Amino acid sequence: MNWLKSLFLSRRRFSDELIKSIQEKFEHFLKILDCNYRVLKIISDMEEKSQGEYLFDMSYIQNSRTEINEGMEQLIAELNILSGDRYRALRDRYREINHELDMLMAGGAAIEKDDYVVPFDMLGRERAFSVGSKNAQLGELKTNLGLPVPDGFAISAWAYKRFVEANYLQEKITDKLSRIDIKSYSDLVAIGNEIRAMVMASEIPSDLSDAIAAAFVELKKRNPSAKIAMRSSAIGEDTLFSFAGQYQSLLNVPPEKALDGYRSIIASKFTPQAIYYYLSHSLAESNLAMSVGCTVMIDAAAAGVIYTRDPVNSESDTILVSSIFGLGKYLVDGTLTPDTFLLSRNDGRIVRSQISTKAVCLRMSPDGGTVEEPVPAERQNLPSLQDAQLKRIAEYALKIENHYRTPQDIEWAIGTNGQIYILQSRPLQILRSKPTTRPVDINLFRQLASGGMTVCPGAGAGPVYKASSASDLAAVPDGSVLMAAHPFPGLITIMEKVSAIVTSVGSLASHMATLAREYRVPTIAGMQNLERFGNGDLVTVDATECVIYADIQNDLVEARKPEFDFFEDIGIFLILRQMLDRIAPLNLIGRGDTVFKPENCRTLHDITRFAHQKAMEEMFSRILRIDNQNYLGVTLKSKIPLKLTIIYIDRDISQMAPKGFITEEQIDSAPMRSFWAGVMKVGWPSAPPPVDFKGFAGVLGTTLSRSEEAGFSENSFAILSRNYMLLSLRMGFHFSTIEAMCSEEISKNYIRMHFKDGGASLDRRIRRIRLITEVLSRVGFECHSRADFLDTVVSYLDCDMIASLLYQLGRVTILTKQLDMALSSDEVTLWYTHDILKKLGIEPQSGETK
Amino acid sequence: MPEIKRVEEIMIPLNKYPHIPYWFTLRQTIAEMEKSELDINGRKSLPRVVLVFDEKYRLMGTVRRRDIMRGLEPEFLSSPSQQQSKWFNIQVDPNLMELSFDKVVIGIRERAERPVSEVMLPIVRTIDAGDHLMKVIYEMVSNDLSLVPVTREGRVIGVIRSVDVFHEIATLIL
Repeated sequence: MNWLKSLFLSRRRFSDELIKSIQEKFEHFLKILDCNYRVLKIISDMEEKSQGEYLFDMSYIQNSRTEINEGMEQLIAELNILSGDRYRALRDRYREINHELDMLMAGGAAIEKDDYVVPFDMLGRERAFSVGSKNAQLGELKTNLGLPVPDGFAISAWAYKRFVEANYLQEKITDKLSRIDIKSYSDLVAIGNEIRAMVMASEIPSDLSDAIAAAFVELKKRNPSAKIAMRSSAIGEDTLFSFAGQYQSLLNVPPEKALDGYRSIIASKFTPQAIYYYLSHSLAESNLAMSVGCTVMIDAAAAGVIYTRDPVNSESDTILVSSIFGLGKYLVDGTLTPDTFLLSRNDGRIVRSQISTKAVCLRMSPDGGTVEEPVPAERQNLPSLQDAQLKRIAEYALKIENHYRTPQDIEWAIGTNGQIYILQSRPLQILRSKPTTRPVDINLFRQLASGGMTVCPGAGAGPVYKASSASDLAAVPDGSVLMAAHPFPGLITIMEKVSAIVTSVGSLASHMATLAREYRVPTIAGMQNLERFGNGDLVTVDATECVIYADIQNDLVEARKPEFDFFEDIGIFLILRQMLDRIAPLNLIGRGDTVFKPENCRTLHDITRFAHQKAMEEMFSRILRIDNQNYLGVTLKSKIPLKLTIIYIDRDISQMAPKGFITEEQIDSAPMRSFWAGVMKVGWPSAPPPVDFKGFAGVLGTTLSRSEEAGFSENSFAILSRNYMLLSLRMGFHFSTIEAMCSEEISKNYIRMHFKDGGASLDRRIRRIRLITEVLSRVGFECHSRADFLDTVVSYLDCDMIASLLYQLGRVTILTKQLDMALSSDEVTLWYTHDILKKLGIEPQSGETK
Repeated sequence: MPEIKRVEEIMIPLNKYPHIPYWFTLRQTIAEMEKSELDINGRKSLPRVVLVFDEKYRLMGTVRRRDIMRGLEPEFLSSPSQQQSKWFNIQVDPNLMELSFDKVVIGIRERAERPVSEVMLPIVRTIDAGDHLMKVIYEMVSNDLSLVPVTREGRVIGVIRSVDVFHEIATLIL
């Protein structure tokens, strides 16, 4: 008998070793689960934020990404440990998706190699990361929409990189910026000056200067009499953040000044207002490469801005055109109050026009630069645009809006020859605020002034502070009402400090207006007679109604507080949503090797899903070989006639089951107990078939092929630990995998079920999936289905909740056993859906009928 | 002279015809009959017969409306089947049911939970998809069937109903 004993002992040793190696693997497996759910939790938090009910800022997005990245890196590393480096391709796929995410952050990606200069003809919007949005969109309008755009070329971000690296600038700049306190205007000015001086003193490497000079010559050759304008086109500008008017534009640049102009535009990244803008949005300066556009200048007879929607009143179905004589600069910098025209979006009819007095205009100077000229008195009050021109511009604008499918903020000019040109187009940021419902009795307040137009609605109160230039800004007290004759650069730096802004000149279409809306400062433009106010006067500015009242009227401030749809309209909300498109959706739905390939992962969620699936396969494929089941497993003794092999991975249960089986009462795995209780509650739905009927069993009525019939099995197994369950249920032709963790740590708990196959025809199987999806959704699961495959999950619930959902899942599993066979019509399916919901104690939703 | 059709031209394919596993209840079978409207070339009807399969998707039997009704009948009303004839065969007056209607309804609800396998009938005849219409008529008449399973190479692929056979005859004659 010795041989028998030794055989037994060697088997025993084999199983001990196997258990040990399985337990080691299980440790990695648990780490993968942990990473997986850590990542998914951050993703769901980001999704919640994207719904717009919570405040968040750029650093929230950055921190979330850092945490996700940590989790993803570890997840992929653990999977590769578990699998012996079998999934290196997954790491590559992850890096690709991550790169796409970097690209979405304003200029967050490494600058890609490109030519130093690129003609507009070769640009489209997809090149925005190389030449900045402004340049890329001009190329897009020209090549893809055939719109009139001035001839020109872009100096790329790659060129910027060359310039910065050749002069070793980046480290010095980053160091200087890190010393700025953005609340201190004098800091912004002093350090900004230092950096600008450094940039202006830097050499442009000869390969780059040659390329720029050659492109200039080419452009001049094509347009011999033309003057050239150089405009900033920073990476990340005009996309998610407006950077409205933050950087420099140089008009009428002679060829010999081109290189100085280039340096000067790069230096404009370091004006106090530009520094304030990116630091206050937590954007890294080093990511904001500067591209420059060089275009033929339009000697404008008139120029202006068109908004394809009213940015303050998005409900109204109108286009807003602002226009002045001469170059458009005096409009966007707020020097002049422009003519404004409201046109109907439907038929182009002029709904309202307001002609202002335009005493001066800006023209090109013959010897470079620009010059201010007086407008003859008889023309000052004439409309700067003819009706036909207005109509034409509006047509172009709607064409552009239609192309981008979002409202646009477009700069245009009309040459002295009457030709219209589009100079720039970018997404228009719209305030979506609900009208306040709180009434306030304004008769109680003393009105001091009224007029002008709402740039950003709301009300603010405080002492008046009058400013006329940037040098006045350092002393602006917190909470004051800033009054200025017209907007000037640098105003942005006090936008988070002041309670309201009022200017006597300006319009909705100026850069200051765009920024005021971005920072949500109640602002009125075009209010006359501001001289009557003195510094320190206490006032309340009602920007919604364009009135200024005496004293601090907190009731009014409160009543006018617009209920903004948080972030609907601002860059940070867009950036989060766009990022979530590449993070959150689950595309890997299905089973088998055709679906689970790294290249099929389109989002980070797909990657976590892939890793989870493969980890499960790696973990359990060894255990599941039949001979292992015999060594390691015990069977479950139950009233339910289901052949179930149980394998414990956290301990040896041979003591507990000396005869090779355990009873239902002995199950001590929390998730399994709950699930099995649900199964028992319903009970096995069949008596053994009557003997008389066996005679006909030779006739198969399935649509399955012979080989698929071979897949029929009644052998199910469960891999258990005290908190974990992996249950592979085979009931007839259908097959489901239920995985659950039920522990004290809420963050680790989850249930995941896949459901696939069935013996019936595809339409019936799909009906069953629809039925199960409906039922489980009502129970509280999140379901993703595709054809006859269902992937359903819940996570982040306490143990009791997990237990109760597993109980329901056990019931549903039995209630839908081979139900596909019976689902011959949608009506039958609906009947079963209601029947099962009723059995689970869930009321059908109102509106559902039997 | 039009040609007489073959079975496969008249049959209803299996995937269009209601069927259930044998452990389903009479209640579920009733739902199946009441909710599965058949649409055969624009002619709509409710199924009078449901096919019963086992878990390996093998055809076991059929169940008709009257089989279900028999299954729902109170014990004391049910007439004994031929196999189990009693010594004294007393006919019960069905009017007795009116005496306690509520109880009867409760009883019906209870009995509706019986598995269909208790009332289903075995398959006595099948017919091949390539068979002639006249053979179907012969099988239906001689075995008193209103529905016959259609097989091809030993697999059930559909059913043929007397109503469709009748319709076919009608188009020939009228």
